[in-house]
Amino acid sequence: MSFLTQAKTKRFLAVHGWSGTLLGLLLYVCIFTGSIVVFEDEIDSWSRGQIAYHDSIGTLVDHKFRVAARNVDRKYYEEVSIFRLADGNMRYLFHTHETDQETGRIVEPIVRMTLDSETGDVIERWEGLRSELPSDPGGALRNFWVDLHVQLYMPNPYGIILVGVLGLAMMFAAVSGILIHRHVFRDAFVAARSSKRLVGARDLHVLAGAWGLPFAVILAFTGAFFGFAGNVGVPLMSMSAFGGDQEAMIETIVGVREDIDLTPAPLAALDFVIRDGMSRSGAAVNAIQITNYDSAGAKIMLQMDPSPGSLAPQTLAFDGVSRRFEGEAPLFGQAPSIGSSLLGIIGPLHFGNFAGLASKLVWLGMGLAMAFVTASGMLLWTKRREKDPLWRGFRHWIVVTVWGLPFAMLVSAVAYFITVPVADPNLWTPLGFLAGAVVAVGLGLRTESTEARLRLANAALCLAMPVLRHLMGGTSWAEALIGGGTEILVIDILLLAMGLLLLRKARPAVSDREIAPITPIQEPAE
Amino acid sequence: MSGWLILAAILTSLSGLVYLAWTDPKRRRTHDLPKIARRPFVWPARIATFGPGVYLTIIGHWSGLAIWAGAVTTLGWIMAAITPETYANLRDDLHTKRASGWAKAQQMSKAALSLSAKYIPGRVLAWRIDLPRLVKAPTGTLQPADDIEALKARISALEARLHRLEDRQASDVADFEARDRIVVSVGENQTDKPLNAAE
Repeated sequence: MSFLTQAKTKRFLAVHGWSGTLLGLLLYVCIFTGSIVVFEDEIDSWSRGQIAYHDSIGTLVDHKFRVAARNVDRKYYEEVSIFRLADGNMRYLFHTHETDQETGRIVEPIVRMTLDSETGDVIERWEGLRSELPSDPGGALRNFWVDLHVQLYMPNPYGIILVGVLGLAMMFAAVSGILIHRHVFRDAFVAARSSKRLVGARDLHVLAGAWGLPFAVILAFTGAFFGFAGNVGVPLMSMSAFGGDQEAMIETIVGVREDIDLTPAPLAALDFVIRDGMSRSGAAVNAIQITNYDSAGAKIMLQMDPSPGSLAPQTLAFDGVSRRFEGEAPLFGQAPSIGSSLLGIIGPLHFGNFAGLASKLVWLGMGLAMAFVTASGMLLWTKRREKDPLWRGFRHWIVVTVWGLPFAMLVSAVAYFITVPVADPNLWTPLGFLAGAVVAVGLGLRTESTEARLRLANAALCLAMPVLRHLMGGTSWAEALIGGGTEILVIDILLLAMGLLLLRKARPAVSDREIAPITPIQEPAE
Repeated sequence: MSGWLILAAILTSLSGLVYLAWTDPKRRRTHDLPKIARRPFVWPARIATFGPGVYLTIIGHWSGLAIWAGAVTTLGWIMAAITPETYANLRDDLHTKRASGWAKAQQMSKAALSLSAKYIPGRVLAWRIDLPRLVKAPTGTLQPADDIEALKARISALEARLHRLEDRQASDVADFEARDRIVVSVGENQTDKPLNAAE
């Protein structure tokens, strides 16, 4: 299977191992948190204790939107976004673009309105710059875990770039791993041999790596794309092709509508446009974007859910006055292209959100498999060198990280639930994570049975979490069952199941518990 | 419809993978399972494994293809990662638990009936039914009221597990000694001694 000579294989193995060892711990954090935040929407409604609203935007939007828009200054009509929040209420964002007189930078003044979807009453209204939008305390847990995955909770853009580098490292590790392993297909069914020696650990790593290869490449590539596209790719492209002028680049790629007619003209009936879009796409409308509202140059863009069988969602463009269908708006460029189509599937392939819970569950499984490959690879590399005390010590701290990360995440959730009614969870959730990490490190200082202790600590928190959530005013199981809050039930049950499983694993092995020590037979005195 | 199609595709591929794993020569060799002389259904199993993916590609069901590929690789990995020994242990556990569970259920039903006979008047109990006689035992488990059989099954399962553990331990020790043994010459005779017993 291998196309490499023995010497090259050795060199590849060295690079594979060293790159994995140097970046492995961060990679593990990134992959593990990524597997969890596949369920970011579900985690959000679980942590808020709200029953999530699954319906799309609906078809009765028009009247409520026009009434709300009457109370907004015309200057904000430049761009309007309409979408439904997880709690079922509607969110309208009216915004424009201005140049800040002091800094000379472009800023986005915004009017944010939250409306009751049934009555159309305004629940909340906020005006200011987009960059000053107040943080949402209810979403603190979700936001923290997502930040941990996206930028390792580091300042922007360093965290995102580092995660991009980790994506590249993962891709290299996956490809080089297959190149150096000569019998990848022959070993596809070889379970780990029950040996304490190296071969058992190697079997575990190779098996998980071989099965997870296609998705390791996909997740690594798409992750690296997200890491580099905005912070490195765009500036590089503008430097190389547009002499550093990013605005010129965007105008070339996206196009500029120079002939916008701003003569006042009524917007076409939104409800008709929505129905038209749904019949064309076969899917529901996820969000609406209106540019130059209430003018003759208005445009309506419908962001659709992915239609059955497809990966990427469509965006349909309509004339804002005549309701004329103008075609599918490409994500990138001014006309549909292969590049735009490829760009459209990068997000769904990375987030696994194209087919609801089914695709998310599969993505969770693959993510955890990748986390297992990363951890088992590091453990294998250090096991080969365990005669050296330095490597032995590193191996110990790998175990602490592997079990300490979920523990710290659970402690951050505890901090969130405790502080959300009384303090700012946006502050306390990360602090909870830090406290959890310190406790994990503290448990790691005692070298004996660290893994068992951390496993037990994880089990205790998994079992306690649903109770704590309920005690702090979260939705009860009965309410969730009646109201259709499947996420709340599923996450609680998963936590309880995980807690019981870890508890069972934390018990000593059968042979240690049940087999009594052999007592020497007393020889009769002669 | 779409969900059922994807589920059917995953199950078809999984059935192919189960056959391939079960008859895989290297897996059998490394886990000391008896060799299988012929593998007549390898190609049908391969077609069953990959066929659904090809079908989903042909009909352009891209989301189904992504879910199928992810589910098959994840489930395939889990299936291949479970050792034959673990499968055997699970089977033994299931067998003994079913047997002992059935015996417990019978004991409880007997106790409940005797309590009812004690406290409920005879006329009311005219319809009383001997539950253990009425209810058939599940296929493959022990017959009703046969506690001793349940115990025997448990003992034989534990003995089988013990034998496997002993075999594994013996092979591990043999491996270890074969690797670390050195030959120490004593006079004219040559004696094999382990490293730590060289003195």
